Amino acid sequence: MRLMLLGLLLLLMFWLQALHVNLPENLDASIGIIFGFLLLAGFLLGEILARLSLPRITGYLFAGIFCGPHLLGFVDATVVEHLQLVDKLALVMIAYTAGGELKLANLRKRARGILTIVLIQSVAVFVATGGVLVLCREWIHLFQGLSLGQISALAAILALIATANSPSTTVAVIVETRARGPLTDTVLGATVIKDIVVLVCFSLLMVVAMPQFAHEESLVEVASVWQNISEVGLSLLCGAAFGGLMILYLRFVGKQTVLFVVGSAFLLMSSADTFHLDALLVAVMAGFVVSNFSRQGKSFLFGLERASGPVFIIFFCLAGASLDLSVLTLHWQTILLYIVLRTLFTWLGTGFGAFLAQEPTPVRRHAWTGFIGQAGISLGLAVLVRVNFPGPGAELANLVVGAIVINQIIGPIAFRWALIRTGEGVKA
Amino acid sequence: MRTILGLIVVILFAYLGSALFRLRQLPTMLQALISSGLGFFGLGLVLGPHVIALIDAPILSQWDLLLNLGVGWVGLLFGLQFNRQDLEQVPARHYWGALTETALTCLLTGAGLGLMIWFMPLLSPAWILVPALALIASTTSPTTGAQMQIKLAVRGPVHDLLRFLSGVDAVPAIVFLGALICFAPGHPAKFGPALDGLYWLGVCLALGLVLGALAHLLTLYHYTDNQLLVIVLSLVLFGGGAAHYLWLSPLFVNFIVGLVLANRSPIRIRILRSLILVEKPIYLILLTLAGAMWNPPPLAWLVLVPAFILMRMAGKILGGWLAFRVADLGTQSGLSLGSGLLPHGGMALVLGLSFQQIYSGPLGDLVVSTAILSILVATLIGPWSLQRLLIREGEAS
Repeated sequence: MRLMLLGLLLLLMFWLQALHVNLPENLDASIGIIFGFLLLAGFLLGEILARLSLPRITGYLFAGIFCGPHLLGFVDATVVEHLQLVDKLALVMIAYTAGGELKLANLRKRARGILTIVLIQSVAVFVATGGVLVLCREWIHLFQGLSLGQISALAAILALIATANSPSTTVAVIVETRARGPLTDTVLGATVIKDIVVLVCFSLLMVVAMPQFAHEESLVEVASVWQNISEVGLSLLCGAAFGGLMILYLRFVGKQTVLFVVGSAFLLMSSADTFHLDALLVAVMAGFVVSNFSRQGKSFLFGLERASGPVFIIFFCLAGASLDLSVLTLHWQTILLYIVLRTLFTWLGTGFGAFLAQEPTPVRRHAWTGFIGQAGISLGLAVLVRVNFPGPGAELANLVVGAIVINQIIGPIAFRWALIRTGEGVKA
Repeated sequence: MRTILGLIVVILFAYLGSALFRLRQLPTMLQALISSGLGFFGLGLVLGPHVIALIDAPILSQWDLLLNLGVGWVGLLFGLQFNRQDLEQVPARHYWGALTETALTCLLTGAGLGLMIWFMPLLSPAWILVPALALIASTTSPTTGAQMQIKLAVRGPVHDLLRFLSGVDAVPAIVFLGALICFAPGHPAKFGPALDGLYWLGVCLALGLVLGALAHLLTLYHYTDNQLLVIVLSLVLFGGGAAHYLWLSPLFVNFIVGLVLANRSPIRIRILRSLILVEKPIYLILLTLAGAMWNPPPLAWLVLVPAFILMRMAGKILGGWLAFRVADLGTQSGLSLGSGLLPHGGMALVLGLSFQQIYSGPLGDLVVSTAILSILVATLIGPWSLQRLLIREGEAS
């Protein structure tokens, strides 16, 4: 029946497109209809997949992929660009949820485990993936005609991007399954911390990698490392201050929480852009402060929960629509090798890290599933590589995007399965 | 810098709002002014491109869909209240009364504005405003009556009829403004001007009915409250977006969807409740956006605004009096009965915004400005006149 409704919705969309009125303002008008269509199609596909015991966000991603420029073509690059504001706003609200879900008491309890897992897993994925890629350089098209130094630099960048995860995916699966427990806390905490680590390490790596391709850029990059580190620190500080202001509102006004959450997200987004801060980090910190240092944390999380349904749908639909599927057909062997290496060493690294930290069995066995998903930060880094390494950068970015397409489909399915299997999450 | 300014403005507004809410024994006028949400229009105006530009033109162009959402939301919510079984319980003469009152207000306002435009050639491009403003004038805000009921524990036939009239008199405005937009220039010519208008009216009705059927089928499953909210939100956005995409009225299309759901859906009440739950945030966002998007209309055209307000008052007073006679309530109060219908509210603004989506230049600006100023005046006068009337009728003390 839901499939039939989806079909009906598609027919309706085709009918509307056939009736299309050509007016100058119609670019904006088409945004509204596509936005509504994406929400409905994403919701329906999410519900269909939920009945097949798959995560809803996979449905949202598929809805985006189907409606995207490579299949039905409802959502093209112009629409994605026009909806960027909504996309950013959704990301800030997801980051609020991520921060809000991080409980200080749980983090204190799990700090050792989280830090050990982050360290061991990141090192394992970085060293092993990078090492194997260098060893297999003869068979990888990207490395043809490059010197060993250049190959090592690119392999290191690929390996570092392999360590990045997607906090938004993690949060979406946790919210959907209403998961609570050590596995949930460990994965969420580690994902957020890894995001910060990857950002800083990427700047450091660029300092080493750039001279292999253009020597004169190196000095500029050294300065940018400090800039990035200070950006992270400043973002966290501003996030704490913003969280403080939010507490004041919730305490002394306390009305219209949903409206307040959306409005504050918009304000945070604009402020972060103005002051060159990382909006994601500011929002995570603000959510963390409100949730842990005030009595109003519950009403804040309630406001977020009410707004989370449409936010998740539109965010992941747009993420699906912006995935470039055509790259999958190019160099698919390298993409496959990259995914296998990343998954294998994430599994080994996480398991070993959890073992060293004497984490409980569910964490040791299943935490790795929470680190498969890859999205925002990896895509952002891929863009940076494309810009900074003319020539091989474009191919490397395609490779990363290809891997993200697959990881983003496998990741949520694996993590949802793990949460339900360990009893921390429920089938909703 | 503008971000900091914006932050300060938002904090200031939030503080003032909360401080005013906490004050007890506020005069009725001020209470009505606060609860009308016009402060959010002011907030939007300050944050918008004309003052500190925190919400600038590029942002506004991307947030057009929020406007669709707000307008469509009101349409769906309004349509959902018209369940046939509930409507059949109201005596037929009440409907005739409502129709009389609406028609008279429309006619008087339309005739007054029409005459002004006829005698002032400067205003001649504004002909389309006559039916649009006349329809906007015909609506009454039901909120003031509801607030009065809570505040003064009002009970009685006059109050009941006033609430009924203010609850239904927006229907002709939504329908006729929706139809008027179907005849607006911009649609591709197919069969000639008149037939094209009818064709698009048919498309509008078909779109509303198909979306209503889709909404009905979607809501046949069991959903949590949050999921239901997502469905409703998606439907409103899709319906509003589709209407705007075809150059039709999002308000009218979503009103039809609401009518279908009101009479077919087994979970009508749950849908209504989930709509009401986020009604205020959406309405306040709409007001803020309307404030940010507001452009002053040409100065010469502003003479229409006081004329509109006066004509509307005259229409409401006469129409209300006639409605009470048609409804045969047997009251002795005469002309003052119509003064209970002076409150003007959100529906007028939504109708104005709906018109502005199609006529986005100075015409649209004038309609929205007129609606806002009329709401402001009515907010100051309406509660006072209604309270006086109810006390005189012995239904409140």
